[in-house]
Amino acid sequence: MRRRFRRKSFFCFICVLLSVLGFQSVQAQEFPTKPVTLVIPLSAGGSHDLTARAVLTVAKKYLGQPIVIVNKPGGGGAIGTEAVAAAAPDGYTLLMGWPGSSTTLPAVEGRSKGPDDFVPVCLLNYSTTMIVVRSDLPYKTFNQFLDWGKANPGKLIYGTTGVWGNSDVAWKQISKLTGISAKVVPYNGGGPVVIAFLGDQIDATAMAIAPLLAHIRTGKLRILASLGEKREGLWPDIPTARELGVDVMNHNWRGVMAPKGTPRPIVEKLALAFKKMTEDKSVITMIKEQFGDDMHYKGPEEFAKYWRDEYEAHKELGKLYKK
Amino acid sequence: MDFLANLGNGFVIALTPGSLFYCGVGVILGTAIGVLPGLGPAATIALLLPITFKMEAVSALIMLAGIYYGAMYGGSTTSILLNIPGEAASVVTCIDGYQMARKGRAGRALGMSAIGSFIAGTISLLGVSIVAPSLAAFALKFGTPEYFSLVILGLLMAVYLSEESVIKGLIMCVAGLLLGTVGIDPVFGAQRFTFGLSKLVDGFDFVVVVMGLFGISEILCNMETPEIRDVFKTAIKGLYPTLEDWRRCWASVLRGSLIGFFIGVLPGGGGIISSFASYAVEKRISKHPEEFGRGAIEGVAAPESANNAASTSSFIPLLTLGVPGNSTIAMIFVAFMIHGIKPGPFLIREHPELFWGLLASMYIGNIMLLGLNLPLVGMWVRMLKVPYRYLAVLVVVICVVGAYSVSNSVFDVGVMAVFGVIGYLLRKAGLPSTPFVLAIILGPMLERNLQQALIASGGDLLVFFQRPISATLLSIAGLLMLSPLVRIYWRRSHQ
Amino acid sequence: MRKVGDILVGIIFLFIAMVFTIGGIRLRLGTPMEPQPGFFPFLGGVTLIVLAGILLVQGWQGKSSGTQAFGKLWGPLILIAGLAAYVAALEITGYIIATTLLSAIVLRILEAKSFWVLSVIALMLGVGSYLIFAELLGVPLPAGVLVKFW
Repeated sequence: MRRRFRRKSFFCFICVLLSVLGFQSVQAQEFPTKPVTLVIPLSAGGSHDLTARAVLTVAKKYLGQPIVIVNKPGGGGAIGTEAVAAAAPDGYTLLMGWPGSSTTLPAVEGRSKGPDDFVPVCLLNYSTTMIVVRSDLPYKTFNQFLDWGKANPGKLIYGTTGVWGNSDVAWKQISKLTGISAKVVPYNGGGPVVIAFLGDQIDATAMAIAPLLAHIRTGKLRILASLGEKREGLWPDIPTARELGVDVMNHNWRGVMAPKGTPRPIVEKLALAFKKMTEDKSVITMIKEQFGDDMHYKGPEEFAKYWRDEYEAHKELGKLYKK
Repeated sequence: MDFLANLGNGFVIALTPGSLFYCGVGVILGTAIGVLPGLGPAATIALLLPITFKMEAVSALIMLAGIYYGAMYGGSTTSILLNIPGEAASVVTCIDGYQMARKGRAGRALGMSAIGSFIAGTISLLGVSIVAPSLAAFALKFGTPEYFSLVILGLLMAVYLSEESVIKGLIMCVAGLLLGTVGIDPVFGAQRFTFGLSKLVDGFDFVVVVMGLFGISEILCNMETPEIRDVFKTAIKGLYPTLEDWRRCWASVLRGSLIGFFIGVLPGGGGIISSFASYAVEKRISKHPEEFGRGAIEGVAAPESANNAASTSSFIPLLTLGVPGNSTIAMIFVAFMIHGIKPGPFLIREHPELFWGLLASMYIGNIMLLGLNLPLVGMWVRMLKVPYRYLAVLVVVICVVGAYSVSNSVFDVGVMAVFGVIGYLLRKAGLPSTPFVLAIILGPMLERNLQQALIASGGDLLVFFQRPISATLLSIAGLLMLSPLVRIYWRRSHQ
Repeated sequence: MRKVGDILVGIIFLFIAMVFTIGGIRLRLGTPMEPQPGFFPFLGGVTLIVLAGILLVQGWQGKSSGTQAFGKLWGPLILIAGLAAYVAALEITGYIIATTLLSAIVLRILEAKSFWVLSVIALMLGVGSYLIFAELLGVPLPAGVLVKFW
């Protein structure tokens, strides 16, 4: 349920008034005077949700106000994304973007909202997509998995984090290259995929493994391959799909964006605060120890270019893979 | 009895002055949020998180958990007094709770709901202490076909609540499902039925819909006869539940607690469905079903017990699997992370003091909530002595502000007013609004699970009947639907 | 006897069902193996057509029941008009003025005792609720024309 809780003082009132009159620099000095909302277009418990929650523990220290998380999952991320795109461009409503609903869905289907409708604030980090299966299934290596899938067409159930999300795109590429086929079931982000995995509802997925880590450690789940350029530092024994002859690479990024029209000084203030949060020792430790990830901050310009390039590339990808 | 020793250690932690203090702060804050419309526990916890940095892990968790289950206690107050459900799980409390208030029995309804919540919370905690891990395994058996069947059963139970006409209940249920499709579709992200209005992209918000359908439409109905000066006409009969109330309710409270405990474990939607399910069960097995909808106290006791039991058992997926079931629980997840603890399969083994300390504090918190809420009953009841016109104005203002605050937009106030008129017309046409509201809330969940189940089974509808839990749920739904038909047939053939 | 109310309700829902059924077809139905966005609204629409049809037949045969007669309509109608005006005026006049007027209308319909009681309570509600929700709880209620005199 959506509910907001905002503490507003008389000063904020003046701020709004001044911003209408165009005193943007004054506004940026005052910003923020109340808590900021960060919408996550995916379910609680996925890697975007976990990362954002870890980073935002120190939001108040560097921004002066807390940042409140609101999960608005559904439609492959389109529901939360469109809600933020339609919000007031005042810096108080931000979106946690990801490739699925911020790049691929708009580039391929024209759904959700892409780089044309947002101002990039910053990139927090990215992680390599890993292929993970249930340990109790007969295949123990990536090649065995492919062989089994090809020998048993339509038997495999593959869960994705959303239509045209990273795991969906990765699977489309893998199945095109190798000829393996599966029933592809879309979930609302990584959190529900974990539950589906634990309940034996699905056999395999490819996603950022932060939410799966605990269950990989218990032995319930097994990593078969990574979709990185080279092997991961934390998982030196896990081969990349590329070295096994399946040339698919996939990274899942986490970036903060604001509705189009958000004043420049506010974006810069937010970007600076996020930069300091990603450099905070306690955050780095939490991210490393609990999710096995690093922080990779990129400022507004760098992130804009990264996002735009990906967007153009995915328009081409859509031509190849859209039915 | 291993768990007794563990729980004993937990109480040692929970009974320290510091723990008691934070527990008290948590439940008081929770009660306040629960009563005030427009303030959610998730946002409150988010704002308080920075304060908990310097606290000990146990203290922080005790306080935040207190806010969460405390909010569930307070949620029924506005349902009973003003016919405005504060949260989705309290919609069903309006049906009989508000009627009780109109008959001068508000105190008994509020008292029963507080005591029922206390009993349910305690039963649920006992369950969590004993069977948490195996219950988590049960929750995991719920795949998409099971969720689909559960929602179908929940919807048919809501239809069954409206005794007047099954066909009208079904019509409202399907209409609600269709209205729930307005906005972006839950699987593919395509816009549906928004007619180019960007404000509709997000669909209809629950708060906006119920404030109109319940709050405003009630005022509109009462305005037809303004000369009846007082809607709460009868003298107030007793502040607290009587012995007779207890004789009628104790079994309802127990059944509600059990239903809430089991369904509440399911991540997402569990609390809402359990409140409807327990109400339908009570009405079904009651010796005087005709009283339901006219102020039957079981109709308050059962759903309030259920939603409180559900709020407690919804901790299980987080504590044993590391999976937060809703966004409030996700906030508590962060409190764990801040202190370097990852909830999950190892939590009970690696941090027993934390797990058992938290559980023990919840027992204590429940007692505190009872002590806090019972004296408040008198205050709330006195509020109803104010002439109705002043209460009516208050309801209108609360609805207007509540709708506005959902996304700070006048558009939502307009939508709320339109739903007020719709609710008014529905009453005139004898169409029940409860299944309508439930279907709007559960529609996206039904659609997503239907689609996922169909994809995973290769388009085979039999999947819903082949899996045991799903098949059981659907059989219950089938029996429920057939029973009134059988009764009608019976009556007709004997005329 | 025919139940006019039920027949009317049936026709209205038949119309609504048609809108969703046709809308569903336009959105692409897909197949049960791979449902598309229009699949669910189409299913719901078809179900509703059947249900509304049954209600129509029942109403025609005079079987269904449960409708409630309208009482004096002027009260509800004035409040509905008041709410419409409220929505239209809220951002222009601001929250306090609009809410005070709306409260006055409600009190008037429900026959408040005197003009003075009515105005004082309406004003108290308008200003009081603004202070509680906007100042204390931080809901950014529109201030409207009062801003100029702040």
